[in-house]
Amino acid sequence: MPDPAAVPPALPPADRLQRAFAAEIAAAVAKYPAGRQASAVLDLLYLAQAAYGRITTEAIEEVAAVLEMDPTQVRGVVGFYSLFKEEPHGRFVIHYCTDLPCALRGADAFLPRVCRAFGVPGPGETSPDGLFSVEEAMCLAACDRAPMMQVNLSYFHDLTDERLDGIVAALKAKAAAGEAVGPPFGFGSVRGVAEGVPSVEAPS
Amino acid sequence: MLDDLMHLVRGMGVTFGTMFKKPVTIAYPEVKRPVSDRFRGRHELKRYDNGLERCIGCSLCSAACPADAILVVPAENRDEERYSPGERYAAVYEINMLRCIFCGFCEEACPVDAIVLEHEYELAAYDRREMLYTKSMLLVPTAAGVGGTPQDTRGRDVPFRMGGMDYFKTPLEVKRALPAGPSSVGAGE
Amino acid sequence: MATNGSAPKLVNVMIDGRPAAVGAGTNVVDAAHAAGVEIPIFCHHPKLVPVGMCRMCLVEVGTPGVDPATKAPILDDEGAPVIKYFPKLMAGCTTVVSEGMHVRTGTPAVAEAREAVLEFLLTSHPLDCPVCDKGGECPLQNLTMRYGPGRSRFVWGEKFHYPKPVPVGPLIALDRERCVLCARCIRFEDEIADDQVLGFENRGRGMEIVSFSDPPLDSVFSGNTTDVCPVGALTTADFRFESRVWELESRPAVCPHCAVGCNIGYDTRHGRVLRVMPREHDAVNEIWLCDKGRFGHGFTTAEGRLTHPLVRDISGALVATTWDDALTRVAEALKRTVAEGGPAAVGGVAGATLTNEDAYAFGRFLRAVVGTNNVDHRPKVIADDSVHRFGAGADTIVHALGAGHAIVVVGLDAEAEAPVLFLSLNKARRQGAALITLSTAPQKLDRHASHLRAVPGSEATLLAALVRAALEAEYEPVDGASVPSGALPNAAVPNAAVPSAAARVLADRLADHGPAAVHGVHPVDPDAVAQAGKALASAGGVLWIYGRSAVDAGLVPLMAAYAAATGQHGRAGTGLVAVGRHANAQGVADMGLTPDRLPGHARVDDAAARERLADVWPSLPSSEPGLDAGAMLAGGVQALYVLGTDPVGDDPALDLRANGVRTLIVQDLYLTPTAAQADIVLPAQSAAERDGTFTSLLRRVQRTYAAVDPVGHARADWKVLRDLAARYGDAESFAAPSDVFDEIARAVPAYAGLSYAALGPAIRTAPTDIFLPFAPLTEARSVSYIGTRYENRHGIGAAWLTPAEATYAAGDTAAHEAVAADGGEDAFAGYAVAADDALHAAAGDDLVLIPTAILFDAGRLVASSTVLHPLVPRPFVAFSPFDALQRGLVEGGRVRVTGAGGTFEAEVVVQDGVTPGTALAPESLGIAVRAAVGGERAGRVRVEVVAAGPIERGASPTPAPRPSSSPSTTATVTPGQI
Repeated sequence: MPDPAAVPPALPPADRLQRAFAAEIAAAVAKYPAGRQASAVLDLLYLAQAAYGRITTEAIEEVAAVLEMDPTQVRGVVGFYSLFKEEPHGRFVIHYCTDLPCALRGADAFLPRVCRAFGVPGPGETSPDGLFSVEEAMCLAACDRAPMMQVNLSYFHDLTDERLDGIVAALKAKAAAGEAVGPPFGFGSVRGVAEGVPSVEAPS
Repeated sequence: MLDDLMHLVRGMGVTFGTMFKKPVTIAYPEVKRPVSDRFRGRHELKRYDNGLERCIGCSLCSAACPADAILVVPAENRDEERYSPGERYAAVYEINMLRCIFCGFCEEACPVDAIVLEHEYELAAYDRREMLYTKSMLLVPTAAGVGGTPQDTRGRDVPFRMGGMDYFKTPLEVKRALPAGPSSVGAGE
Repeated sequence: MATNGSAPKLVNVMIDGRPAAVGAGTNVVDAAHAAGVEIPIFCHHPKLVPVGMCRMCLVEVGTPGVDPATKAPILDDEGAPVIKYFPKLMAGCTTVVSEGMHVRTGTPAVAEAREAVLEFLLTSHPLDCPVCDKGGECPLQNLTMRYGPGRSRFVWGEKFHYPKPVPVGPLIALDRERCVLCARCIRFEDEIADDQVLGFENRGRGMEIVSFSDPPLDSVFSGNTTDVCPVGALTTADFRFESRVWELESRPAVCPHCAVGCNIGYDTRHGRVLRVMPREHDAVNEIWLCDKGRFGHGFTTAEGRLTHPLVRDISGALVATTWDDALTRVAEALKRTVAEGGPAAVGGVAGATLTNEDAYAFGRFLRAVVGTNNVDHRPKVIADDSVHRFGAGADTIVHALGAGHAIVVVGLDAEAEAPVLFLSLNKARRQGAALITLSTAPQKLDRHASHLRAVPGSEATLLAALVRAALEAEYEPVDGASVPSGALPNAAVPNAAVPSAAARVLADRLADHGPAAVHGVHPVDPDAVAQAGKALASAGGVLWIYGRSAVDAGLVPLMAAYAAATGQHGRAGTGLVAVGRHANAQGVADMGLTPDRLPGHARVDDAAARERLADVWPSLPSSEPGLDAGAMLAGGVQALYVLGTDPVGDDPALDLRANGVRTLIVQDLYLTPTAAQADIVLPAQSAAERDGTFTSLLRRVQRTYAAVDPVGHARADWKVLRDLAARYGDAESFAAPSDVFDEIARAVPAYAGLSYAALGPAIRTAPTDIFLPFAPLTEARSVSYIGTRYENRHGIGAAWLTPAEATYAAGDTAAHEAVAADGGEDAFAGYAVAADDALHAAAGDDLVLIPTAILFDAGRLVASSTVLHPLVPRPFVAFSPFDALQRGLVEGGRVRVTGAGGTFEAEVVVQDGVTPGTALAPESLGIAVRAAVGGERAGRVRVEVVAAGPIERGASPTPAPRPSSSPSTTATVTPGQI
C-alpha cells in the first residue's frame, strides 16, 4: 500500500493559470483565513483572464479546482461582473458611458462616431484588426466631463472628434510598436501582473 | 241552447280562420329552421389560418365542464411534427355528447378560442359508442391550400394568441439590451 | 428538537392581534403561521436558511418602545407598552421575533407592497399557465389571485422571451421566463443536498439559473428542486405535459427502492402512474425524495411484465397457463421432492423487496407447511440479531440529531444506497453532530465528516482502533485528570443494568488494537482515529449506521459490542442501524427469512419462540438451522422456490440446473434470467399494485397502498402462498393482507400490538372522522412550505421497540434487567479483529477490487424508467490517480479485470479519493463484479489495458465523472427530449 501522502492529486484538467501565476495565486489565497479560500475568487478570475486572455470554460474550471469551489459558483461570479469577458475581445476594451447624465450631454449621439473612430461596426463588437472592442457602460462616474470613455483602465474625458482621432492614433502606435499589450484588466493582487498593460494617459 | 250553438260557431270560426293562415310548422327534416347566432350546438375545434390547431391541450374545458364530458390527454409538440403553436397540444380530445349539456362553459374557459359550440344540432345516433366524439370528428377541416396537422415548422415562427395576448412575437428592444441569453424570437423550442 | 432535550426559550409575540408564543430564533413568517396568520412567501422555505430575496413577506413590525434615558419601557395611559413600529416594512422571513413584538399584516401599506411585488414579479412572466405543468398547484398563481393587483402596467411586448424549456439537468426542465429568482433550488442543492451545482448567472433582468457541473445538475436529489420551486420554472421530465395536476388521483405508498422507507404518493390518472411525489413524514424523509424514488416508477407499467403463470410444455418452452394449473403443479413438484428427499430437499430464497406480509407468508409456507428451515433472503444485511437487541431507539430521527451526538457510518455509501438518509446525515452534521465515516471507498459524505479509510480485508482492525480509542478516551485519565469512570454519561436509561465494567472489559480486550496499530496498515492518521474516538466518547449518544460492506467485513459484532458495553442503544440517537440495499431488508429479517432464525429473530431452537409459533402455525419445522442462500443456489436443495430476487441476473455464470436444482419455481415481475431457467414462473404484483407494510431501516413499520390495478393476472405473493398452503390442507385462509399482518403481530413479539388500523387510517367510518392525527414529531409541523407538497394523511407507521426498549418502556424492571444482562458479557464476545493478510499483501501488479453500490444501476427497476435509463453509466472501474498514472490508464479507456472468480471488461474512470492499490467497480451494471472477486467484499484482480482512451486529458476538461451519470450518457439530452 503506497504512502497516501506521496500520492499526487488527480491532474487538473487545465493549468495555464497555475503555471503563469503560482505566486500570485498563493498571495491571493493567503489574504483569507484557512478554509475561506473561495473568497479569493475575484483575484483569481482576474488572473485567469490574464492567463487565458478571457474567461473561458477551462479558466472557470481551473479557478474552481484551485479554490475547491463548484464551477457553477464561479460561473455565477463571472456572470455578475461586466469586467470579466467571456467572449473574445480586442486588446483595448473601450467602455463608453451612455447612461442618462452622459446622454444629456450628448453622449448617446456621439456613440456612432466613437465606433467609427475605432473602426468598430457597432457597440458590443470588435474592430476587424482585433485591436478595439467598444462596449456601452451604464456609469463610469465621470458624468461631469461627458462624453467620456474608459480604455482599459484609463479614462478619457470631454471627447471630440479630434481628440478621438488622436487617441486612436496613439493606441495604434502603441500596438504597432510591439509594446506589451497585455490583458486589459487587473486589480488587487493582480496589479503586478497588469503592469504590462498600456496605461494611456489623456493627452491634455 | 242558442248560447251553446254560438260557442260552437265561435270555436269553429277560430278553426276555419286558422286554415287560411300561413302554417308555423315546417317540414323538418326537409326544411330546417335557421338558428340564432348564439345557438350552442355541436362543438368544433378550430384551426389557425395556417392550418395549425388552436387547441393547446390545457384541459381547462374539461375542468370547466359541469357534466364531466370532456377528456383531454396532452402531449408535447416538436418543431418537426407540430400540431399547435407553443409547446403543447391535445393528443386525445373527446367529448361525450350524451353527457354534454351544451352549456358552453368549455367555450368560455378556452384561452385560445379553440373550442366553439356551433350550430349543428342533429346529433342522434343508433349506438351509444358513436356519441363519443373524437378529436378527428371535432376538428374542422383546413382551408383550401393550407396543410393540416402535424406540420414541420422548423425555422418558422408560429405566433398565436392566448388569454388575449400575442405569443411568439419579437419583444421590443430585448435584443439590444441583452446580448447573450434570451433570444428575440421564441421560434418553437 | 425532539431528541435534543432542552426546549427552546419561548418568545411572546402579537400577530394581527393574535398572541403566539414561539421559540426564540423563529422568524416572523413562521411565527405568524403558528398564530394562524398567513404571510405570503416565495423565496422563504422553512427547510432553508432565509435570504429575503423576493420581498413578498413585507409586513409592519413594531417592538415595545424604550425610553432611551431610563431604559424603561414606555407605557401608555392604561399601562400597556407603547409599540414603536419601524418606519419601513420589514421582510418577515429575515426578521427574528423578539419579546413583545407586534406584527401587522393587514394594513394598506402591506397590501400595497404585496401588490407591487407581485406586479413586479410578473413583469416578465409569460402567463402561460394553460400549458404550464405547475398550473393548478402554483404558489405564484395562488398568491397572485389572493394578493395580486389584477392588472399590470407593464407592456406585454416588453416581456423577455427565452427559448422555451432548456434541460438544466437530464431530469429537470428550466423555463427561464417563469423564474422569479427566489434561489430556492440553488439553496436546496447547496444546503440540503450538498451539491453546489446550481447558480445564478448575470444580473438584473438577465439573471438566470444555470448549472455548469458536468454532467449538468449533477445531483441525485434534483427532483426536489421542482417541489420547492414556487413557480413553473423547474418541472420534471417524466411528468412533462402528462396531465393537469387537478386530474390526478394521489395514492399513498412507501417507496420500494431503498431501505429508507420514504413516504410517497403515486399520482395516477386513468390507472397509470404519471408521477411520484413525496409525502411529508417528519421522522423519515421530511419532504424530500431522491431521483430514483421520484423517477423510477416505470415498473408500474405493464411493459415487459409477466401477465400469466408460465409452465414448461412438452418441448420445454414456457407457455401460459391458469393459476389453478400452475399452483397444482408447484404443490405436486414440492410434494414429490419431499417424498423423495424429505423436507430438507426443498428450499426458498426471497428478495429483500417483499412486503412483510409476503415475506411472512413465504417463511410460513416453507417452515410451517413444507417443514423445512431452508429459507433465506438475499442480499442480506441482517444476518444476526444485533439490530434486534441493540437497535437504535425507536424514536430516533436521524435529521433531528445535532450537537452532542455522534454518528458513525460504516461500510455504507449513503448517497448511493439510501439517498434520503444521506440528506438526514448531512442535516445532522450541519446541526453539530459528529459524523464519522469508515469505509474502504470514498463517498460524498466524507466531504464534511471525519473519514477513516480502511484497507480492504482489514476493516476490523480500524474499527477496533476506533472503538478502543473511544473507550480509552472515556475511561483513561486525560491530561492527568481522572475521569469518573463509573459514571458513564449515558448509562442512566434505559440500560442502566449494563455494568460499566463491561466497557472496561471490552477496552482491555482491544488493548492491542489501539489507534497506534493502524499506522502503516490503513491510509489514515492514527491521530485522526484517536480524535474520532474522542468524539464518540464525548457524545451523548452514538448511532452506528452500517451497510452491506460492513456486514461482509464482519464488523457488526464489534459495533454491537460497543453499543452493548456502553449502554448506547435503545434510546433516540443511539444503537445500530442496518441499511439494506432493498426496501424491506429489515422486514424480511424480522419475518424470519433466515435459515437459523424464526420470525422475531428467535433461533430455530428457541423453546419460547417455538411454543409461541405452535399456537399460530399448523406445524413446526425442525430445530436445526437450514441452508443459507449461497448453499441453496449451489445445489443444496433439489427444489428451489425463488421469490422476488434474481440470483442468475446478478451472477450470469450461475447455472442452477448444473448445480443440481431439479425443480425451480420463480415468482417475479419480469422474466428475469433466473425465471428463464425455471420450470414454473408465477407473475407477481409490483409494489404499486398491492397493500402491505414495509419496515424501514429505522424499524418503522409503514403501510403502502395499492395505486394501480395489477398487470395481467399477477397475484399478490401472500395470496399465492396461501393457495399453495391450501393444497397442503392448511386451513388458514387469509382474506386480506391485514389478516396476514394480524398473524404477524401474534408471531413476532416486536410487532405485537400493531395492526393496519394502528399503522394508518385505511377507512373513514363517518364523514366527521378525521384521519389519524399526525404525531407532532418536530416543530416543522407549524410551518408552511408554499410549494408543491403532499400532506401525510395516511398514517406515519410505528417503529417497533427492541426488547430492551420495550421492557423499559413498560416499566418492567426485572424483565429489563434480564434483557440488559443478556446483552452484557456475551454480547461483545462474538466479534473478531481479524485482518485478511492475503488480500493486501504486496503481490506485484495486482490491485484489490472492491465492489461498490451505485444509485442508478442497470437493475430492472431503474431500466424500466425511460428518463432514468439514460443515466445508467456504462460499466466502469474507478482507479486512483496514482494507479492510473503508474499503469498508463486513461479516462475513457478500457481495461480487462481478471479475478479469482471471473473476468470482465469495463471503462476506466480516474477518481480522486480512491485508495491507491484499490479499484472500485459498481455492482449491478451488467458485469459480474462480485463474481470476479469470488463473491467476497473485495479480491485481488489483474488489470490489463484493452484500449487506451482519449490521451489528451489536459485538453478535455472532464473531471472524473460521478459514477451515477457519465457525461457520455447525458450529453445527448436535447430540449426536445425533455
